[in-house]
Amino acid sequence: MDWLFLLIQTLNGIQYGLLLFLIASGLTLVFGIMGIINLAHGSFYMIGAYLAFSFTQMTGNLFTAILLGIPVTLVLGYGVERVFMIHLYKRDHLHQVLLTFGLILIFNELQLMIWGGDPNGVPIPDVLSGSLPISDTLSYPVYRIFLSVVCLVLAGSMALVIRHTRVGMRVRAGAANRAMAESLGVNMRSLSAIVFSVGVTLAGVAGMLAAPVETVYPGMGEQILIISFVVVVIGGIGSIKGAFVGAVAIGLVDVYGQVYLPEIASVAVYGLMAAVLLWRPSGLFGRT
Amino acid sequence: MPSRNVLSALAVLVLALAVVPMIGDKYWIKLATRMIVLGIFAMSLDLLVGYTGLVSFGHAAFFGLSGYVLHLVSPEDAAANMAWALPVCLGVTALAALVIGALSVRTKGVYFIMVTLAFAQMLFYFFHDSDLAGGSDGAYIYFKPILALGSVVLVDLGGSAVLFYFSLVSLIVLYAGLVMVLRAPFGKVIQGIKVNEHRMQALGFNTYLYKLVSFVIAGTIAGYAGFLFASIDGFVSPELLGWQESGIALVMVILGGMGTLFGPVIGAIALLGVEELFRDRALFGFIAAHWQILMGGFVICIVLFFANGLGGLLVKIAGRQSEER
Amino acid sequence: MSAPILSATGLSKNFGGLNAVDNVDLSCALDTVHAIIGPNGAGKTTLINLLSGDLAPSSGEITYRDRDITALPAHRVSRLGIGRSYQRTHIFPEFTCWQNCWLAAQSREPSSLRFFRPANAALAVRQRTEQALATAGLDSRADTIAATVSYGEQRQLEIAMLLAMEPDVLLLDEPLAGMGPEESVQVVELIRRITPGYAVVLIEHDMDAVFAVADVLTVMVDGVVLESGVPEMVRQSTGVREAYLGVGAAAADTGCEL
Repeated sequence: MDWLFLLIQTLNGIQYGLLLFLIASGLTLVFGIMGIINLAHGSFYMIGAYLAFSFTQMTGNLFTAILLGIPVTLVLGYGVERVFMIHLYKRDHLHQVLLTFGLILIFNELQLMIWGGDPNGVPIPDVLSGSLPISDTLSYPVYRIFLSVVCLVLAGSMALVIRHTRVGMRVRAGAANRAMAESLGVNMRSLSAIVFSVGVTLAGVAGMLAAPVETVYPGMGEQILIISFVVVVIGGIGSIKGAFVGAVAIGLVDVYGQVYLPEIASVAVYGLMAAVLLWRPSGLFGRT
Repeated sequence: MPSRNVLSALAVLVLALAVVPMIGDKYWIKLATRMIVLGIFAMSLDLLVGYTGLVSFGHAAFFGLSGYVLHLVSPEDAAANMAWALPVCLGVTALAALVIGALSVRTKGVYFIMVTLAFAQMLFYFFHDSDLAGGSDGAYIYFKPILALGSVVLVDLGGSAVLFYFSLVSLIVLYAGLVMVLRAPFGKVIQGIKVNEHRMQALGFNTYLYKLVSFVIAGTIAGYAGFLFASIDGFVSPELLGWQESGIALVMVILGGMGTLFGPVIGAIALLGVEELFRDRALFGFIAAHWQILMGGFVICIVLFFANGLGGLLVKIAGRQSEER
Repeated sequence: MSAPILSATGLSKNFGGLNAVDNVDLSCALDTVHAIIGPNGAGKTTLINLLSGDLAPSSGEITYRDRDITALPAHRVSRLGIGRSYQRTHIFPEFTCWQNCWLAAQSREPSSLRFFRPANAALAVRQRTEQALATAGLDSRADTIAATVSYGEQRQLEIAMLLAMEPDVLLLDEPLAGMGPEESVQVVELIRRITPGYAVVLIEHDMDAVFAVADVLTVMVDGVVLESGVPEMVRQSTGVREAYLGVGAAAADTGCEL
């Protein structure tokens, strides 16, 4: 049973890692394109989860809830970019950190006012509620497989968009050299707005998808934000590839840690980050 | 070194604070003590942010850690003697700052922000998840520290006025000490690093070493503030090391004016004052219960409209300070 | 001429496929100015970066006072006594000129982990600071914020900072870049005045300045040394005239004659 058990844990780790990738990729893109460090990124994950919770309650179906939630997060991301982020492009990181810190305070309190402080759960849709039997005693939930597949599809389409479309070309140009891209006629303002709202939506979708497997609770945004930071530090800031490798590595370390070394599980991911920092201070795929 | 005018303004502020225990009740004394202690905390962060150019988002790690160490070394049925408890708290904090700093200082800019935040959260989860000290519920320090020589008690931090004056004197001594350090070669070197680290390396300075030493000094002073803070309510909780506490300290630094040392102290006083206002039901009605929204809006407004802070304003009002060598 | 204190043999640096510096030999002795000229992209700044330790050479060897310093990082090279100035002004703009020089002087102290006595209390460092400012002719600007002095004075300040570090080799990368004629004359005068006691490696485009101060002249083109010797000899070399001016003797009329 040992290696089957290990297999299940590995699948869990990869699934968690893929979810982390959705969040960390938004964080790293926003930094790469806009030069902004966004602490409020985790809040959008939390908001996504709560939207899934409310819309599922209203419609009785997670898929409808996600379809309703995506436009909400898109609009939210666009609004936040126009109202707040737009002031931050030329400011130093300290101001970016503080303004987005202020946003978290507001989002957290709004969450408490709207949804209250109790943890909530979201039911898994009936079609995906089963489990695949792996052996006589072990099985793997279908929803988690669905979750991983959706994350992989999203990651794959993101890679395709960035590599093969005009928007993607602009994104790459903007990340390489903002001023140069601008002088070549790329409208960085609208590009920034697009990238930011897509990043927010990715985080929101991650929250919606995670809602049925994780508890929906008030502090979930910060918790995921910190882990996403660890992912970005490991992968190298601005690098999508790095975010992917970092996310899967963190997912595996976290899950294995909880199974095999529960006493130090909460510290294990930071240990991995420390090790990477000792080896490569700007991350695995970071520019030095 | 601030100009004479700024120093007189500060003296007035200190005197105004010093009379609080004579006219206010326990609530006000505690509030004033919190202002001073968080002022020390914010001042230590200014050494990093305003003078070394290191934006740490995990400074509360040392603040909270020291409080937890005080809890761990305090006996349940008697007060701990500061004569050894304080050095233990500061020693542990300094060691933690050395280890975290040794790794974090290798990174720059936005990496440094994320790495310090991550390490602080690591300590947060350590105290939050382990049953070493009450887990997420926090833990009590039943008897507040005393300073005793043999059986003679010289200082008992259990008295709220005593703790207040002890904190106030600590603030003044630490401020003077930091002003001295910043005038010394070490202080000049870290300020050079803030302006242009690469150039300092080209001059032959081992900038890593100086940044690390600055990190350890700032962490240790934050630990001193944490020791005092835990003595105010005799209670420690994981939130003390949380990222919100680190964020609030940065807000104090900005609100007060970074790179002025005294500014962050003013920032701490102002921020706690504003918090009191926001929590006032008479002023803000039902939203007072959700004062964090107001606080978030306040923080955003400071960043957008007031990035030079109160300290910058004070310096401007007091006239341009003469350039000191 | 006295024996060289800094010498490079077979020095090369390639970036990808490009040989920025290709098998260069170079030496510099005390009390002399060794000027390096050449068209843009000839590899002059890369050569300085190699000598100062800012770049590691792909091959070759650098010797300073009979010691191999090829692999040393920049701050170690700087501490040994090889100081450099940069093509772009490289000062601390928000500090006073005095504070700029003080940092340079302090950098020679074994350690700056001094927390208690004020920075200006250490006599030796203060004297070095003041002497460097005086030599560079900036004593009257000591308490002025560096960002507010003229561009020429900023370049002088940069040389003052170099002097405050008490090196014996000065690597000057286009110290006259961007200066007006009057300021140039001042800095040329300054270089001439400070040369005794130092080995100076000078990169410069201003030919009048080069011939005014150079004891040895090296011409670089495309990363290789085309000619090296006393200025008069180099000036006569037809190879240099053709390669450097590109159009042979006809260029003698263009005003940038050698």
